Amino acid sequence: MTHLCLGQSHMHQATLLCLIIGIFPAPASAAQGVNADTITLGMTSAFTGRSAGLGSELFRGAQAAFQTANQAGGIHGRKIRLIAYDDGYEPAQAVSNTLTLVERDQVFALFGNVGTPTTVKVLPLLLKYRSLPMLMFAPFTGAQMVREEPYLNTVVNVRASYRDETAALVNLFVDLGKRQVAVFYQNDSYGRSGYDGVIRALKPHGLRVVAEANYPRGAAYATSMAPQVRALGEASFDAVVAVGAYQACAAMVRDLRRNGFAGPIGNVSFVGSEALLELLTDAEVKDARIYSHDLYNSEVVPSPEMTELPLVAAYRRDLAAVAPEIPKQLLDPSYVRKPFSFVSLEGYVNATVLMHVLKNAGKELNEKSFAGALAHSSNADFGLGATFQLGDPTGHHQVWIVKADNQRWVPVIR
Amino acid sequence: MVVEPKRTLRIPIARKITIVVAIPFILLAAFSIPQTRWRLGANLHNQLRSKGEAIAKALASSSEERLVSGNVESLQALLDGFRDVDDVGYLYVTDNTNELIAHTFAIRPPAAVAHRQSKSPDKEIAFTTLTPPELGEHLEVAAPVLFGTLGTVHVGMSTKQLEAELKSATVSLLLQFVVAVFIAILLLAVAVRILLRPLHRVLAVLRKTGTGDLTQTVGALSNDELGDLGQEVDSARARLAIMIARIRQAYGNIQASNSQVTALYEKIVEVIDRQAKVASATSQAASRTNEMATRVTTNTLDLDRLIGTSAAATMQLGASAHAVSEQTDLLFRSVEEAGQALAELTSAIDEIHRNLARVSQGSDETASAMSEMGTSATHVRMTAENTVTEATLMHQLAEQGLATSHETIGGLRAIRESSEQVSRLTATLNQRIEEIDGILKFITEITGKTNLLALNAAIIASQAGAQGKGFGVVATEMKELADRTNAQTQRIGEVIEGIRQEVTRTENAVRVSKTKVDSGVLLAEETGHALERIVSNSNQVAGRVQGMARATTEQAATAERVTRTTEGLALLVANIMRAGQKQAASAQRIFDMATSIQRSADHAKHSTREQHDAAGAINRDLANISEASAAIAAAMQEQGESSGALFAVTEQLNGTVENNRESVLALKAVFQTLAERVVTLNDELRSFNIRQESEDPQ
Repeated sequence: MTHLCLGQSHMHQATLLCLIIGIFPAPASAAQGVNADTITLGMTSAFTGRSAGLGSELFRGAQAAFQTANQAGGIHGRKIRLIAYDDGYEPAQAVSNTLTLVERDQVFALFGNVGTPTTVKVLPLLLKYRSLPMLMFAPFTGAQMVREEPYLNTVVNVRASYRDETAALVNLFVDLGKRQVAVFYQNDSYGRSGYDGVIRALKPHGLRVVAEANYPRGAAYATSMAPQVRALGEASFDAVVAVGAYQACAAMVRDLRRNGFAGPIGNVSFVGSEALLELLTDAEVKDARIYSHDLYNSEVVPSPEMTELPLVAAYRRDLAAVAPEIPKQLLDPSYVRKPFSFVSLEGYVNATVLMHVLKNAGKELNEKSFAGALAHSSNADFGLGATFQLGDPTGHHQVWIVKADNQRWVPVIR
Repeated sequence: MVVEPKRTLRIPIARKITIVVAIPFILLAAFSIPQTRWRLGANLHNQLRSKGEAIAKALASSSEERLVSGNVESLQALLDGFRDVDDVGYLYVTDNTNELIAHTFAIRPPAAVAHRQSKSPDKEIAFTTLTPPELGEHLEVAAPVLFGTLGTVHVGMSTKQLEAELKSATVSLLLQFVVAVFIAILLLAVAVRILLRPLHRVLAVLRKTGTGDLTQTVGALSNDELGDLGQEVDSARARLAIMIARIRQAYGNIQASNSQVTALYEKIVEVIDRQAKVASATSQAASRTNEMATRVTTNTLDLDRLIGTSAAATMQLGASAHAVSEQTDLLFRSVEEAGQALAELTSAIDEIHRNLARVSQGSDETASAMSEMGTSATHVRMTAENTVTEATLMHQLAEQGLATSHETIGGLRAIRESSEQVSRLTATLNQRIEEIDGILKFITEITGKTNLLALNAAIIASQAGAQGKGFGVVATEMKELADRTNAQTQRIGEVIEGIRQEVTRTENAVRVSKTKVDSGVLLAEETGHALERIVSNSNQVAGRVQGMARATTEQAATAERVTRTTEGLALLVANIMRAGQKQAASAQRIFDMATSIQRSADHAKHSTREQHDAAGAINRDLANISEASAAIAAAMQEQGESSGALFAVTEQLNGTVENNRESVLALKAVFQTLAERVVTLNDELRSFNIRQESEDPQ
C-alpha cells in the first residue's frame, strides 16, 4: 500500500489526500476515473470541525472494506482508490472539493459525502456533469432532496431517510405515550429536513410540533443551549426530537436535563451516536449527574455490537484487520478513533454495497454497466437482514432504534 | 495712584471672530447634515428595498419547483444561500396556506412571524416594515410564488446596517464639519493672532503706560493701521514722558525751594525764639532798671536828706568852731594879759579854768558833733557807694539792654531779610507753578487730542465692522488712558492750585511778618536810643555820685582830723587844767606854761581857723552833693520816664514778637500743607516711570 501525495488543496481547510490503492498499467476505459487497475473515488467530508467524527469514522469504515477488497485483488482486477478532502461540514468547501475531485482528480464517482447542507450544494454539480456522468454513491444524509428528482439517476442512496428516522422516533415517542413533541434542529437544510420529517410523522397521529428551537451550524458542546431550552419551554412538551450534530445535540441534552426535562430525547443517525454519548458520559462524570437517560437514537445501520449479523461480523473483522488510519492532513486533533461505531459501520456497509455493484457491473465498467448492476442488486443480501435491500432510489427504509444505557447504545427491540 | 477702570466681561477679538466664523459653519451643519442624512437615508432605503425585492423575486422563482415538490430542505438550502447576504436579516417561506415551511430565524421564528394571521397570499410584491422585538426593524419584502398559488417568499431586510451606515455617515459628516470648522478657526485664529500681535504690543505698552511705566515703546509694528496706531501711541507716550520729566524737574525745583523755605523758616523760628528771649530779657532788664532807678531815686532822696542833716551838723560844727576860735582868741588875749599880770593869774587861771571848762564842754560838743558828722559822712559815703554800685549795675543793665536791643534789631533785620528771601522764593515758586500750569495745559491739550484720536479710531473701528473690533478695543483703551490722564492732570492742577494758594498765603504772611518786623525794628531802635540815654545818664549819675562819695570821704577825713584835733585840744585843755590846778608850782613853770599856752593858743587859733575852713569846705561839698543829688534825681526822673517808655516799647516788642510767632506758626502750617502737596506731587510723579530717571525716581 502506497501513499502518494498528489497535491495540496488550494482551500484553507482542505488537505488533499492522495490515496493510491494500487498502480497498475491498464487499458483505456470509457468511464472517468476507471482504468485497467484502478477505480478512483472522491470523498469530500467533515474530517475537522464539530462533525469531525463523522467523516473520519465513515472514512475508516469504508477503507476497511476497500482495502480488504484491494488486498483480495480488487474488483475485476481494479483496485479502489479513495481521494478524500476535508470540507469541515461547510457547503461551499464541499462544492469546491467536489469540483477538484471531478475536474482535476477525475474521480469515477463521489463517495462518502457527509451532511445535508453540503450534499445539497453538491447535487447541482451532478446535473452539470451529467454527461460524464458523475454519480454520488451513498451520501451520509437522510435528506429528501437526494432521494428525489432530478437526482434519482445520479444519486445512489443506501441509508434510510430522515423522514424514516424521525418517523421511527415519533412513533416511538407516541408509543411511549408522548403527544407533545418539540423539535430541536440545526438551522439549515439538514435541520429543516428533520423538522419536516417530524411534522410529517406527527400528522398521522393528528399531532403538531408544539415547540421548536434551532441552533446555528457549527455550535460547540461548550455553547449554552439555554436560549433554546427557554424557547422550547414557552410551550409544554414531553418529548424532543433533535436534528443536529453531536456537539450541539449533546449540549442541548445536557441543558434540557439541567433544566429538569426528564422526557425522552431522540436524535437521528447523523448525530454520531458514539461521539454524542461520549460527550454526555464525560459530562455526567464531571457534573456527577445523569444526562443520558431516556436518550434514544435512530440508526440507519444496526448496532456494531450486533455481531450475529454477518456483515457486522465482517466489518468488525476487517476494521480490526486493516485498522485504517486517518491521513495526517485530515486528522482533527479532537477526533478520537473509536474501535467500532455506527458511522464506521455505515461506511463499511456503503463500501460493501458499492463494491457489490461494481463487481456486478463486470470488467467493462461504465455508466451503463453500473446502472445495470445497480438494478440487479436490489435483492442482494448484504448480511444485514432481509429488509435491507437496494433498488429503491430513496434507499432502504430500515431504521434501528437504540437507547443509551450505561454509556453504551443498546438496541431497542420493537 | 492708578485708577482701575471698571471692566465688564472681557472677550478677546480672536474669540469673537471665532464665534462669528463658527456660527455660519454650525448653521450650515445644522441645515445640511439632517438634509444629507435624510437624502442618504432615502437613498439607502431605496437600495435596501431594491435589494430585498431582487432577492425575494429570485427566491420566488427558484422556489417554484421546490414548493411543488414539497422539498423543504432544498427550500431551506435555497434560503441558506441568501442568509449571509448583507442586510438580509431573515428569510422565510410560507406555503399557500400561509404555513411557515422554511426560515432562517435563529432559535425559532419570532412571534410576529410564527403567529402571523392567515391571509390570502399577495399576488404582487409587497413591502412592509416589521419590527420584531427580537430582531429589530426590518423591511420585509414578500414575493408571491407563482402569483401566490404556491406560497410566498419573505425577505426581511435589516435596517440595522442602514441605520449604522446612516449614523456613521452622519458622524463622519459631523466630524468633517467639526474638522473644517476647527481648521478654519485655527487658520483664522492664527491670522487674527498675527494681525493682532501689534495690537497686543500696543495694549501691553498702553497698560504699562497706564500703570505709569513709560519706558516701554511700541516700536515698529506693521505696515498697516496698527503700525500707525503704534507710532501714535509711541509719540503720545514720548510726549507724556517729556511732560512728566518736566513736571518732575519742576517738582525738584519746588522741593529745593521748599527745603530752602523750610530752612529759612527754621531760621526765622529760631531767631524769633531768640528775639522773644531777648525781648523778655530786655523787658526783665527794663523792669529791673526801673526798679533800680526807683531805688536810686530813693537813695538819692535819702542822700539829700542826709546831706541836709549833714549840712545842719556842719553848720553847728561851724558855729562851734567859731565859738572855739573866739574863745581861743579870748584865751590868747588873756594869756597875753597873764604875761603882763601874773597877779591876776589865779583869777585868770580860774577864769581860764572856767573857760577851759567851757572849752572842754565845747570840745565835747564838737567831738560829739564831729562824731555825729562822721557817722553821717560814713552813711553818706555808704549810700553814695551804694548808689554808685546801683548806678553801675544800672549802667551795666542798660548796656546789656542796649546790646540786647542791638541784637534784637539784628534779629529783626535777619527776620526781615529772611522774609524778603521768602518773598523772593515764593515769587520763584509762583513762577514754577506758572510753568507747571503751562505744562498741565499742554497735557490737557494732548489728552483732548488723544480723546479725539480715540473717538476717530472708534468710528473707524465701527466702520470696519468685525475686523475693526480690535481697533475698537484699542480706541477704548486710548480713550480710557486719555480720560485717566485728564483726571490726573486735573488732580495735578488742583495740587498746583493748592500750592499756589499756599504760596500766596505764605507771601501774605511774610508780608505781614515783614511789616511787623519793621515796626519791631523801629521799636527796638527806639529802645536802643532810650537805653543809650539811660547809659549816658547813669554814667553821669555814677560820676556824680562818685564825686559825692569822694567829697563825702574827704569830708569824713577832715571831720576825723577835726575830731582828732579837738580831742588833742581837749587833752591839752585837760592838761592845762591840771597845770592850773597845780598853780602852786613855780611861776617859771607858769610862765613857761603861759608861753606854752600862748603857743598852744596860737596853735589852737590856727587849728580852729583850719577847722573853720574845713567846715566851709564841707559845706561847699555838701552843697555840691546836694546839687549832684538833685541832678541825679532829675536824671532819675528822666530815666524813670525812659524806663517807662522802654518798658512800653519792650511790651510792644513782646507783642510784635508774639505776632511774629503767630505768623510764623501760620507760615509753618502753610509750609506743612505745602510740604504735603509736594509729597503728593512726588507720589504722583513717582508713579510715572521714565527711562531717563528710572534709576532714581526721587
